[in-house]
Amino acid sequence: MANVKIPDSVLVGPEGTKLKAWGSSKELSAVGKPRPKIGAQEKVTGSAIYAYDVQLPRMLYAAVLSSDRAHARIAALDTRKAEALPGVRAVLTYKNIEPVKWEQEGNILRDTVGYVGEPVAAVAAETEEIAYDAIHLIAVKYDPLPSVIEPLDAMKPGAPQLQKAGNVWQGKPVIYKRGDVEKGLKEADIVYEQTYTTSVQHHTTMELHGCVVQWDRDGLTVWDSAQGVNQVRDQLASRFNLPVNKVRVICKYVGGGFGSKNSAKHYHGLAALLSKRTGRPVKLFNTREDEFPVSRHRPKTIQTLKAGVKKDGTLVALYHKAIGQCGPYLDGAALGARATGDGTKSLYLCPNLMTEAYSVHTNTPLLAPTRGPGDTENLFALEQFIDELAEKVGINPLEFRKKNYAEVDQPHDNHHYSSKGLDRCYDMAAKAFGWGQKAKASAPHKKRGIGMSSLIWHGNRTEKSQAGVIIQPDGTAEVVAGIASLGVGAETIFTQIAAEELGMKMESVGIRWGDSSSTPYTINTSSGSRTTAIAGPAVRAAAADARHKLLKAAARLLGIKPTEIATLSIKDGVISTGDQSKKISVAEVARKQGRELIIGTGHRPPNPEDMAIEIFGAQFVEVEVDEQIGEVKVLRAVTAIDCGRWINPLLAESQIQGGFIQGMGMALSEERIMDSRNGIQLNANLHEYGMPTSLDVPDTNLALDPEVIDASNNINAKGLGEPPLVGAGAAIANAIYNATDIRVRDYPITPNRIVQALKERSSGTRQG
Amino acid sequence: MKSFQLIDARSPQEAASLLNKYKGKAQPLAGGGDLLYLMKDRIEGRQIQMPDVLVNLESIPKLDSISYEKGKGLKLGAMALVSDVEANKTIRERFPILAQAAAEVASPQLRNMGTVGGNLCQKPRCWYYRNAHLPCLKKGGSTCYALEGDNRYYHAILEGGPCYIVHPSDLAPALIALNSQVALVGPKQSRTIPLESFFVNTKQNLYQENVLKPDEIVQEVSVPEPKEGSRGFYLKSRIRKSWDFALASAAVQMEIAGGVCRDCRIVLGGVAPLPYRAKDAETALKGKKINEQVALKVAEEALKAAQPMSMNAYKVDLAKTLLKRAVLQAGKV
Repeated sequence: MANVKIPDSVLVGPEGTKLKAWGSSKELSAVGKPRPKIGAQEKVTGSAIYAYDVQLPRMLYAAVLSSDRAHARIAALDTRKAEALPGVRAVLTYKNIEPVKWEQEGNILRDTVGYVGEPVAAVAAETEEIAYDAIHLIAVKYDPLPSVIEPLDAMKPGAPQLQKAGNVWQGKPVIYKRGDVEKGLKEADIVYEQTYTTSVQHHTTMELHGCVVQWDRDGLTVWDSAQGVNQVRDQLASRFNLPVNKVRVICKYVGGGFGSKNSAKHYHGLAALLSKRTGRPVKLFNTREDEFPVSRHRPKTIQTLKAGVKKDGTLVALYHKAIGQCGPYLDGAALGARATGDGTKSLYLCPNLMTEAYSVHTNTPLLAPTRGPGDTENLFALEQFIDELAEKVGINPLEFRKKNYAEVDQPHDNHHYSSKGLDRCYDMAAKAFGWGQKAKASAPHKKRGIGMSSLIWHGNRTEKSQAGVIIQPDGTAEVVAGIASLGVGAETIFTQIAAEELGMKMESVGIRWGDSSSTPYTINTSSGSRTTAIAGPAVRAAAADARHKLLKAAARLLGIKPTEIATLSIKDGVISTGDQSKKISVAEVARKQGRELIIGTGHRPPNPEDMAIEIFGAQFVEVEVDEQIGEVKVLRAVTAIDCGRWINPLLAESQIQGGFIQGMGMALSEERIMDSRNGIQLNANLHEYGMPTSLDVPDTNLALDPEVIDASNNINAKGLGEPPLVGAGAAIANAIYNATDIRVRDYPITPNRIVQALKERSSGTRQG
Repeated sequence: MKSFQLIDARSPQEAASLLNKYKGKAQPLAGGGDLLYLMKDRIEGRQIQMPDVLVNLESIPKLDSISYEKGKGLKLGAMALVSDVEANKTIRERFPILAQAAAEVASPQLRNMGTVGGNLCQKPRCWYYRNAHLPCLKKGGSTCYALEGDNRYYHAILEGGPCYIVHPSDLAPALIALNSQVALVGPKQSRTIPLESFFVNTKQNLYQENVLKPDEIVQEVSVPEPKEGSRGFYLKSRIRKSWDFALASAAVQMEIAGGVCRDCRIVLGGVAPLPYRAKDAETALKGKKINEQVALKVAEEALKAAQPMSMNAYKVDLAKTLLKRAVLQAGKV
């Protein structure tokens, strides 16, 4: 991969110059190095300031009353007792709130509710306790409307229709086709069909969703817990019809987002309107119970896969139908139709393929992107199915995958990939894992198994991004980037990228971020594993601009002609000519510049048009299963991900480890349990919603770098935030099957499902 | 959380008197892990009121003591911490089943807060009961939502009806297997009863899981010295490896001589509205040489009356496996 050709179009530098194509990270000084995360010490010691920590003079506390009905019209609403409670400063309901359009359905508070957890009223009071007491004094009388909770019920004739187009989002499935599936199935030696289900997974961020808002004559200032300051700012400006320069969103640290903090949600709007109404700053954070509907979630899906394979294992036809559950409104509904994603369409070479995805409206909370949306649900099903197919034709699951390897991006005109290191991921992960060797179980009633999965996550599309790099008078550099810190370390790697380009030590490069009023538009929000690949190239371009200006200033000071600055280079903060005859330190140049700072700006060049960009990887796990009590312990996990260049191995490893654990949670214990009669979530708490504990995680959770240099941008990176979750579930399910010969096709694979399957198998009502 | 008045009690009798004084409006506060949770979630109904007054038991001197006297047995104050029970050297050596059960409770942080008395008196984990929006039967409503709803985890397979809760305690099955007594204190008099008869099922009392009067508190649990050759084992199944209640648990304490069970007590947790004493299983075990076949028979006997609900039939198999394993473990010499 070292000889990859980076197109000139992505290496555009300042004033007609061309950026150097970076080689192997071993040849670089800052990029590819394990710089500890900026802010880590502040977080560990508790001194990092989160939105929740913000205390303003005269601040009020807000609480939200949410609906306990799945679908109802509000027949009567009495707020008199709440308003009379000493300390209450404002109560907002649909009756007295100003008309602010929030979703396609209309105003931020309405006289109908479509799911349990939808906001009905908001209170601002002198203390948090008074605010919560007040919402319990609001009397709401509901007239029930017909409701439907389960997607399959909603698809039946006679179900209450929640949208004009019917309960199927947009009135029809999202269909993709190539070749002829029927023809392919006829050509196949073996035709196999199977159905899988995945459950609702919640983001369960450690920091609650909420904000502190001050709306005064200067405009709207929001201290937020957000994945991006710019997107929230733009949405609030638009919804409240304010000039963009009157809205400021501040967010330096975030206690977890995973897709749930991308946009302006109800709580932003309600806090803003309460602040406007009272003329005082308002703090609004959800209760943990309300977090579940407010953060939204990953859809549950019902997926059927059907394939035709030749005896030698060649895949000739693949059909994938997925039904996803979405809420009653259009907001978020598209996410319910993404389970037939990149995995099915791109991962394996298959000439005849069709996918059919339904997002089905129900009276349940709305969807939000949840770490690896679509592809995760897709691969939890597909990669179990691939193992089943491999078994049908009697081929090792890894060999089966390699046999059907796709060199080009089939759904996108068979474009070549900007890089595809999946084969390397397979080989290096299999080797490190010891694929094929099963260890002995630790007790007679336990069984060991091994399993693997491929993973894919769609790479970034072309987007604009801008960043700045300032050389301060003391010669230190400061990156200026309009991002929030989602917690994955984007701000840290930006300093590395700038340091590399500037020829400075990492330690002398800092960063300013997290305030929409003092940073450029570097990214709207950190979603889709895009921040490194979208914003990183802009940071490099800005650093290159600063470097160019530095060299021009140095040339003046060293008496070198401006046309000859190409002979200058910077290393460890010292600018010198090629023959080392003339040198000057960056600090000296900066000092001489004085208050006339060198400010570099840069923007991201577009992606090359003729390349497909996808992220790939392979995940291997070993489990030990006590099938009689349904207990699964993941002993080892090995993940190799081709995400392009690893800018910071320390952060890359922690992304991979954390992502695997979140995928393991979805595979083994996390699940929204909802009463399908009334739409009430029964486990809306961190105790019964089973996120893995420290005792559940594997002792070995290894992350491997296939050292791929991607050709799509000037830093050679594709993105890493989401991929490590995507294949975890299928790898675990495949390992459980390998251990027990029990194939549980419903996630999560909880003890009840394993014990039940074992019972059915021993009584002969189940095969495999 | 609803605001309340906190009153420090200085003695068990004073605590009982305070409960009597604020009858119906007061609750004793031990570790608070369960009670404050219920109050924060505003779990109330016609038959369950949120307290206006909390009588603090932590202020009572020595109520957290753990003492052992050879030949007489173990005494656990109601406020003894679960983590102290877990770590106590004497308990680990002489009452290992109790240390095992304590180690299975919740998470380390919660064990550092949770008390013996609180663990025995905790409210059930039925998610309908614990949902503030649903006026379930046990809260004084007219419907048991679990009967036709989602009953996959924390609902009964034995002795259920009209409400189908299960008792969530890990300590109770172990303590009953050890034939413990519990001392209860009222404002005027005290009484000591077998721990087994402390608990009631939902047919006997729909609204309360034990025989405590509104002005009584648990003062102490006493565990008799196990006979020579007595061995015990506690096993619990759950979804995660920590911080989860039992899907099912099994406590077996038996006296063995020459590989033969002379006497035994068998209690299952997480399967019935009360810690379930499996007397038929005990009969099947007594006098038998411990082996795989006997253990299996014991498990079959213990669950023969099981009437699983729509989604929890697997718990019958689960409980059988746990009990079988616990018998074999306890019988291992």
